[in-house]
Amino acid sequence: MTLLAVERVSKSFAGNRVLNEVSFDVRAGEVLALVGENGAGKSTVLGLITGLLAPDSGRVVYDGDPVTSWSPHRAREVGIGSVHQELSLNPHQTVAENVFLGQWPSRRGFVLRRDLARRARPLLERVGLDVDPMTRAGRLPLGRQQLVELAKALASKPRLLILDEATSALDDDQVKGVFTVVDELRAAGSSVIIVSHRMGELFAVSDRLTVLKDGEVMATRERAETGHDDIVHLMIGRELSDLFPPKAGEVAAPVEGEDALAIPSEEAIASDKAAAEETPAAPPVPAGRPVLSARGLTVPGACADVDLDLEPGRIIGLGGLQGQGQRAVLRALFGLVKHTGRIELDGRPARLASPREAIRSKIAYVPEDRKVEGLHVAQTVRANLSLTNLDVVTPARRLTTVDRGAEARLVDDLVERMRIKVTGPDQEARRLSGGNQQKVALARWLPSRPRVLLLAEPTRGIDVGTKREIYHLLRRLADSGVAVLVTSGDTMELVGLCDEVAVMYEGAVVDRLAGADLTEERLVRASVTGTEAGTNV
Amino acid sequence: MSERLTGALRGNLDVAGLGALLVVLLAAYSHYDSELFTPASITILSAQFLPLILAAMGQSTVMLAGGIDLSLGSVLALAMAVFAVRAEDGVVVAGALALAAAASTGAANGVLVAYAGLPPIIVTLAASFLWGGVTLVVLPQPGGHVPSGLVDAYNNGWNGLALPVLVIVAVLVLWKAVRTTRFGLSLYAVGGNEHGAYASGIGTRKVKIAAYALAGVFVGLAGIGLAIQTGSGDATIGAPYTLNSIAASVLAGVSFFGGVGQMRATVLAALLIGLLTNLLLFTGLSPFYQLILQGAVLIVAIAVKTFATRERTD
Repeated sequence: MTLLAVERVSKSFAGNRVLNEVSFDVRAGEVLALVGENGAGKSTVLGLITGLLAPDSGRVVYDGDPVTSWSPHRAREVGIGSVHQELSLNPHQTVAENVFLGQWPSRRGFVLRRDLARRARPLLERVGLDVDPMTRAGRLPLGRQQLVELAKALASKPRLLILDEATSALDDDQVKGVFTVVDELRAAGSSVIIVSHRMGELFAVSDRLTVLKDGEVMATRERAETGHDDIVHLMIGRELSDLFPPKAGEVAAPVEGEDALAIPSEEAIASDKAAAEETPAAPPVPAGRPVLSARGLTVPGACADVDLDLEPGRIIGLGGLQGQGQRAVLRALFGLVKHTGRIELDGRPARLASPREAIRSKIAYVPEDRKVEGLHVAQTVRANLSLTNLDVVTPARRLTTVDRGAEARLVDDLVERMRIKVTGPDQEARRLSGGNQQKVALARWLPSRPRVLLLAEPTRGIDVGTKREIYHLLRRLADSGVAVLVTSGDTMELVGLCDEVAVMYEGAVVDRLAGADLTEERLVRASVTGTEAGTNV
Repeated sequence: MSERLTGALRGNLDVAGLGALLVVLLAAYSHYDSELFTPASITILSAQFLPLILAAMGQSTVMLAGGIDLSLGSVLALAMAVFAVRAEDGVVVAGALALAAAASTGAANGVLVAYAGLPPIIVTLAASFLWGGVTLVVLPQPGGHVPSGLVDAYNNGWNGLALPVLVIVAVLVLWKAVRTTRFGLSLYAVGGNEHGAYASGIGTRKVKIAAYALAGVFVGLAGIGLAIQTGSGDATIGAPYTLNSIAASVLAGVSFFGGVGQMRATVLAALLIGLLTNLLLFTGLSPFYQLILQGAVLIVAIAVKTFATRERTD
């Protein structure tokens, strides 16, 4: 019996078609895995099911009836519970209040605290959470908050449970606990849709897998009849080696001059690839003198004792589960958060107390949340690109107004070299697609010739074509002598792009993987267990 | 156990700090006014402070839902004018009219914020002009008349009871009850994480409208109180209450971002601001310097409080 059917659903945001005639179904008593890269449309589909979004065309059929006037409220009423990666908890209320958020049990209109606590306890136990229900939710670590979300979803006795990266911050034992709950639900005839970037988990728990790519369903496979490679191939739609550029030391001649600051053409990418295949596995580049090195970098409450050496020509990755302090490291190196520890630039002690000082030291930062820290979204592409390059567009430094001619040349040049799709330099940044926004966020630093480039989640939520362009651009920049540091929650990206990955766990670097040790499997194992997994096995 | 103790202390740090500040102020106050703790004095002072305390409670209600109300002063004056104009025909009817007016202005703010998606600061700023004008139409010159028996009972005690104190206690009890209803929990949930509340099936729009309307009721009560205290109405008297109510809420630890704050702290903070104003009056300083001092004291108090209760964030 089919519990939920998504039928030929399409959805666009600001002219970007995110879903195109997507159809799939979930049977009663089944666990369906929804697989796809970031930006493939998974979250949008789930939003349609949970009533957060409405489809432009097509329909969602639940329990035999097409859903009309759908809303999160209605969805919850008919038995759809969901746990999202982005938490919906109210950090200021207690765990018990959060578990029953929006449907607090009341007596004669009054919600009694002891009632809440008493009824929350069995739910918390079921998800393996041993906390006082009267604790404020915001005081719990991220993983435990995620389990509170699960308890909250279970409180409404769901017939369909949606787990959207619901295990991203959990350790092995906690993940097992979640899967026990999933098995119980399945045994009781309920259905589960699970989204996770950990392929192993999906294969362990699901009955069928539906693969989404660029907003379309590629295929739905029975778990028994498929394997990792098959699914990955469907997800990416092309070979991995085509997506990522060759690594440091694999290309004969590094690129010099202006060319390094542009996204390479298709021919250039092809010749790079050919060159890499001819060069028989060259040894890794000998570690040069680091431009920037950090010793004992500590941001209270976020990361502790992190050592990093950023060398010209190398792309270093910061891996690990979400929220293990990667962001704090980047923000500290850009002077955005207070930190302690020793930082040296070209071997000389340096203090990075503000972004201003970091920029003066030729450090550039492309943040995770482009809309807040990366771009002025309400302003034009022109304004965004010239703001970080005022030295270039005001000839006599600070004393003159902006030279419109110089500004226009700068903007046109960057738009062309970065292949930013704009209607014109006056288009507002918020009207661009995610990928083009990211290109602007990157392009604005290029004219100042940064020596260190810090990027957080550089390809989150952008399409695969732009991803490829950005990977090749980053490699070109590295080849021209820039030291690059990238954080990413996408293990495939770290493995494909980086020369070395430092794995972080609870604020500390627990493992460093490079060369043949840098595989997705080892990276995931080190991320999840928080131990050195690369060398001891 | 110590975890629980520190938890309880943290939860009540605002109230405890304000209480300590209150003791200091009262000590200073009794230096100038030796009869401070007599029933007559308490009655008069509570009558004087009631409007600000209720106004601050209204402001806090809106702020808890993540909004702000700049029309508070105008609505207070509107309620006062309606009550003063109609009081001679019967106080109960006049009171009901004034409350209905204030609650509907609040609901109107709420509808504009919730359904039109307009920023609260803009909606309520515009509303402050609108209701300011309407109030002048209702009562062009200061006037109206509140029955003197009521005025006397309110300001000088009724059978030895301080009526304003009773009102404040009653409203606090009412708030405590509201806080434990589903609406009360929804109010904190919407203020703390609006998207999360929506995704959890809470009718966030209705909650916001109800919050603004409830704030209107508090402000209406404040206007009625002010009319009874002064015995008449004045369309232009409301303005200072807007900013004072925000100051009291902030001093009480109500977050500008919503979802955090306790009403009893707001009551204490409003009381503190009232006492401070009186105290500065006693010092005989020029009114100009009184204003400067009042501003400085507020900034210091809020800064100290912010540093003391700041939580470590990433």
